[in-house]
Amino acid sequence: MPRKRAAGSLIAVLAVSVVVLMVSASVGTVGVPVAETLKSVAGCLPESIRTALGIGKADPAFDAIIMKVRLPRIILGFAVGAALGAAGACYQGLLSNPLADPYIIGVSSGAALGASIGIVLTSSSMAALGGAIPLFAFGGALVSMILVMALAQVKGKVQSESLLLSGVVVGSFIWALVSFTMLAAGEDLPKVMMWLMGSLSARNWGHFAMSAPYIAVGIGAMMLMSRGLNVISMGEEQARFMGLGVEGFKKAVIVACSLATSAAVGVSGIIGFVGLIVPHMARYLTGPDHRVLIPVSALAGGALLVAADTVARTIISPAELPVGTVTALVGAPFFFYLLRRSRREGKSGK
Amino acid sequence: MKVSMEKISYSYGRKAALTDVTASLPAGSLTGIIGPNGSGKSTLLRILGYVARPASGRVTYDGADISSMSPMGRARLIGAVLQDQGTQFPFSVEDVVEMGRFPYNGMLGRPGRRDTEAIQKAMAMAGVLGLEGRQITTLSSGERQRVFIARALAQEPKVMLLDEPTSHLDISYQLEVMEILKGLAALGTTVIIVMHDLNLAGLYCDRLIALKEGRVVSEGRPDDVLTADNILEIYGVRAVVKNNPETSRPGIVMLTPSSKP
Amino acid sequence: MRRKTIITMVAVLLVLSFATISALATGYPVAIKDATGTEVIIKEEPRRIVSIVPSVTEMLYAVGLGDRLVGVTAWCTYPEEAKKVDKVGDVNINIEAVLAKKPDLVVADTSMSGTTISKIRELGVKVLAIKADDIAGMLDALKLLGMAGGKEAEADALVASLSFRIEKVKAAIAKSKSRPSVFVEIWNEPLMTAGRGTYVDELIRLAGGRNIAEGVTGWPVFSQETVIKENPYLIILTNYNKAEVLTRKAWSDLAAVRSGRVIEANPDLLVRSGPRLVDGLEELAKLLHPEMFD
Repeated sequence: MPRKRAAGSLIAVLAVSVVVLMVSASVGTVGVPVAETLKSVAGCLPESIRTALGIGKADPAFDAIIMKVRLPRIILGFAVGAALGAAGACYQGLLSNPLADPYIIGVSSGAALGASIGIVLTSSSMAALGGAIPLFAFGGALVSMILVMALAQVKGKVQSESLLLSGVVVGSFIWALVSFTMLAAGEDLPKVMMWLMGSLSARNWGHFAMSAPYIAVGIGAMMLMSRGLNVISMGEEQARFMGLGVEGFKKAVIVACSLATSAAVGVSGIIGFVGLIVPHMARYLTGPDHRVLIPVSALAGGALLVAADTVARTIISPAELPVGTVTALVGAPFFFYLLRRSRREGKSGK
Repeated sequence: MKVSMEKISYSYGRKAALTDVTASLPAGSLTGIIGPNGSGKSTLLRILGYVARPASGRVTYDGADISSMSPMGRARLIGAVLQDQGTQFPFSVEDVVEMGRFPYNGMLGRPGRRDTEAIQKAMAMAGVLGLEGRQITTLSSGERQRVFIARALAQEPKVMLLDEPTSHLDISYQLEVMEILKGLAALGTTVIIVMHDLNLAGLYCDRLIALKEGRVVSEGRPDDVLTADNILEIYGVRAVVKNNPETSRPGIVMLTPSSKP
Repeated sequence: MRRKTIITMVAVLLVLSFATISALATGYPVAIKDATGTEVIIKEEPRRIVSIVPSVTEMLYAVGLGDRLVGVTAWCTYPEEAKKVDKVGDVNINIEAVLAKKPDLVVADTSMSGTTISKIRELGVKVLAIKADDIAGMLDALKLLGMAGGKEAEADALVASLSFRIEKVKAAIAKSKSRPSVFVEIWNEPLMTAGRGTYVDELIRLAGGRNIAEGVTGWPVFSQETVIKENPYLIILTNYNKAEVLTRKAWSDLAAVRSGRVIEANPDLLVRSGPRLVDGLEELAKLLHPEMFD
């Protein structure tokens, strides 16, 4: 029965997420014993509970590393991965396009432009604008979303095809502006390129505080609109006959997805493949019902990104790989595998 | 529910798709909209369902204009089955039919007893009980079509609009579907179908609206609409129409260009 | 008369020897095997020089060839006078602009100019390419430029003075037993530093310090955990972001942060090839071994 299967996959993915988080918290450049990791994390609990459970205080050196360096990075990575996974699933459902990813509406180009302008402006005077790059990126992303929606509207209606086209056109235009900005960056060019490749390096609780509310609201809204996504996957016209206010719904979905994606890209740069593959993986477990697909995609996206980031920050330690590189290197062959598998099943299934 | 259309006109840009279409369909009737491709059949169906708005003219349901109703309100009156879409996602039959309750329990829908009853009834009428757990992508085309009908029926509509529901089905499935629709009409639902197959239309429909190039050429009982002259005018094809004693309905035989008149 | 003949002969001899000596003294034509392995033959003193790399511009001014520059890049910001010279490009060099300046010589750096060197050569313009990856290379480059531009004396003097200052630093820190650790932050998000093979690393070593990133090469993204674990004695910033660094909760317990040893540096002194590197070296040495420089 679908209900049981749904609950089962949700629990399974939740369990996997917890394991990934725990393992990632224990792994890093600095070897921290697992016991110390647990003590550090338990430090969040009130004194009474800790003494009751018999958990002592963690070594302050390890504590700093776990609580101030590793944990914020992991938690942020989970949030970013969740946003990308959920948004990817949403767009794939809304546009009936299995190749859709969170950047299909051109949000990534806007974020890139915002960030590169921010880097060029602030690199010589960062004292004044310390944590401003994420804000620049977030702003840029929202601007591109508005542009794309405006362009795609014909008499107040947003058609899926025009949305895709509009996303491509606006995206290309903005990327051209990004190249221009990169030229102006001169010696700061490597910094811009590093940002574009996506990274969770040196992210702290401040980044999490900045992005988490928007990601949470975005994912929450997506989950609330799950039933509508199911209905719209029957066909837009059919959905109209079934009582869905299709135009308003599409706009609401796009806003929710863009909000979560923009917040994610703002703090971590452009991390590819997560938003594209995770929904496919999730759909394999849950089937097409968005009421389960979206939360499972969120959890799976979070787990996948945290796992990829753990590899990125340990494999050439103490140097780090850009996490976007790891997701692409792992993602591309995996996606290819999924594609071939579904084609084989498609031929024999029907 | 009585469905009336008065002087419906619609154009795509400069091309007139429908001109002055007028007809009145009583409650519990099974009406077929026939005509060649491009005659405006599908457009008319969409106008009847308020998915498209006419340039001029009105559509009334029991005398009332329902254009100001919310989409959900309308969905509780009108159910539709469009040409086979939405089969790429492997939803279960149960989930598909349950979507028909969307106009009642909305986005956050927590299905209650009423919903379960309506779903059961819809599936029974459409003859798909027992297929609940099956994935829609694994069904035969006939079964799938009946599931979509069940979904529309789950909306508990007074009016059913179907766009070529039998076009791609095997003959046995075609008859299956038409039987269901006939049964629906008998229970009081006003059923309006866009059809391709003249014989099937003649066999089942109480009324026919024949369109050519957006205009009504003939409208009324099948005996009156399906005449050799009308068929020639509408389709440009010579035919022989005879009343079939086994069915008491007109049967149409197309004449090939080489047949003797 | 005979005395007149003798005077004339002596005069002619003197003139001839003078001419010979001056011919020998000017040293032209000059054949230099440059960093691309090409034998660059400079027939006479170049009067119109174009530089397509900021570090080269600095070095040309340092050896006294600045007044001969007719074209520089938009990023040639030092010395001040360089900013007034016409521009021939920024990160990308506009080759037409270079040609329009009708240069006798174009000077480039193999690690920065890439294929532009051969492109300009193909158009028949003489290009001298230097390679300055480390201090020794930088000093050699200065000599090369002096030779090419007819300023050998100035170049030699400069190299001698720089070498003297470097030796002075080496001698001062040789007496110190400690090798304090250093972290140089090139960028904050992602956290980037300079590893082995960069000037930063070389300067730190010469200044008697230890770059905590010496185990990696190039300009890598670096693990923040490692910075905290290493707890460097000195932190150098290249983006004037000290205020931001001091707000980092993860760094608040670091020794360098607590003791105010977080220094904002002019990145040119640590990264840009040229004589100012020695200024950077001296600054670094003083920060690392203050007790040796009183």
